[in-house]
Amino acid sequence: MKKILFSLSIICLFAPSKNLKAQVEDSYFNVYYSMGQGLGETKDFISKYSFRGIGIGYQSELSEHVIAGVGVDWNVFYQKFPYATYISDNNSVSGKQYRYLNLFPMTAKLQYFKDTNKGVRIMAGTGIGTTYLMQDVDMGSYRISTNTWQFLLAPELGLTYDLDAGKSLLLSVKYNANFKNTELSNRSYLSFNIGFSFNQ
Amino acid sequence: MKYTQILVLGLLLTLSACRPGGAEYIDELDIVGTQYDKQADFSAKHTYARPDTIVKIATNNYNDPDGDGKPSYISQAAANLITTQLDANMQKYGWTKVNRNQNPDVIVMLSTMENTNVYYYYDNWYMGYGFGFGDPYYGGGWYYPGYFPPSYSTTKTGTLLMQMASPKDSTIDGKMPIVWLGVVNGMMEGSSTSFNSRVKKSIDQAYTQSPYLKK
Repeated sequence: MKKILFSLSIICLFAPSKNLKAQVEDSYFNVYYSMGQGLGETKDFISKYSFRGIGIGYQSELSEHVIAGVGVDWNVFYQKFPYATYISDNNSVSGKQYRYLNLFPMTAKLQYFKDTNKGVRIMAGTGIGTTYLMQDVDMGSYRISTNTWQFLLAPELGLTYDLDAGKSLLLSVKYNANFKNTELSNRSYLSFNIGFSFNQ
Repeated sequence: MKYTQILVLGLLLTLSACRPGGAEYIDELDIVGTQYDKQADFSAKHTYARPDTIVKIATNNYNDPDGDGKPSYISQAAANLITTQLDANMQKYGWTKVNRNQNPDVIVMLSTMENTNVYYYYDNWYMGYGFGFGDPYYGGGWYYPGYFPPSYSTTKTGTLLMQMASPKDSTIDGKMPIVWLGVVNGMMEGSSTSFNSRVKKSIDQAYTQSPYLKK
C-alpha cells in the first residue's frame, strides 16, 4: 500500500498543473497498440510474445526539450503448457497448464526530446509508478490467482513522425521493470508500442 | 479530431479485450495429484490389500447417504475398471496383493466424488480406522469413516481419491497414517470409451509420477 501511495504521489507531482500550463507549448494525447516480451522471471513464467495490449497517455511540453506526462498501459500475456508433471517437495501434480498475466503499468514520465526538420521527434526518458498485476494459473478445473501491485521504473525510447498538423505516428520501446514483492517475483517485460499522438 | 481519437481507442480496446485461449477439450482439464509421507519407508512395504467396492461421496452424510446404514458405492463395472488398473500398476511396481486378513503392509482405499470444488480436509491421518474393519454390522465390508465432507456443487467434475494407509504404523490410539495419496480429477463428460480411457491413463500417471513406490 505504501508503494502505491508513493507512486501515486509521484504521478501527482509530475502531472501537469495550472502553473505548468502557463509554460506549456504543446500537449499531446497518445493512444497506441502495445505488444510485449517477458524478460527474466516473466519469461520463465510466460516466454511467448504478447500481441495483446493497449496504452494511453497524456504529455505536455515543459520546455524546448523536456516533456512530462502520465500514462497507463494494459498488456496481456498468455501461454499454454503441454501435459507435464510439476513437483514441489513431496507433492506432484500432472496436467496441462494455462498461464495468464495481465499487467496495468501506470507511470508519470519525464522525457527529453529533440525535433528534426523532417517532422520527426526523438524522445528518451523514464517513467516511475506502479503496475497492477493479475496472474492466473489454470490447471484442470482449478485456478490459482495472484493479484498484486509492484513498483515500476520504465525507461523508454520513442519517436513521433508528423502526419499532419494535428497528429503524428508514434513508435516506442519501453522497458517495464516491475520489482518483486512478497507475492510475485520480478515481472519485467519490454513493450513495443505503435499508435498515434494527437496534438491537443 | 476528437472522434478520430475515440475511434482509435475503441478499435484498440476491442482488439485487446478478447480473452486469450484456455482448454478446448475435456481431457485437457484432467489433472493428477500425488503426495507421499516423507517418514514412510516404502522399501519395507511389499503387500497391499484393497476393497472391491469404491465409496461414492455425494452428500455431506457420506457414511450413510440413503439411510441403509452403509455408504453408497459406484457401479461395480466402474469399480472394476479402477481396481483393475490400480492392481496392474501396483503389481508392475512389484507389490503383491493379499487378502485384508493377511496382515497387509498397506491398504489402498478408494473413493470418488462428483463435484467441482473438492475440498477434502486432509491431515495425513485416516481418522477412526478399524471401527468398521470386519465389523459384522457392516456385513464384514469396508467402512470409510474418515472422510471429511466435501463442498457440494452441481457441476459435473469427478474426483477419484486413492489413499494408501499403513496399518502397521498405527498409533496407540488407533490412528493409521496415510503414506501415499493419489487424486485424479477431471470432467465427467464424453463417451464411456473415452471416459474409461482417460480414467485408466490418469491412474497410470499417478503411479508414473510416484517412482518411490517401485520395489
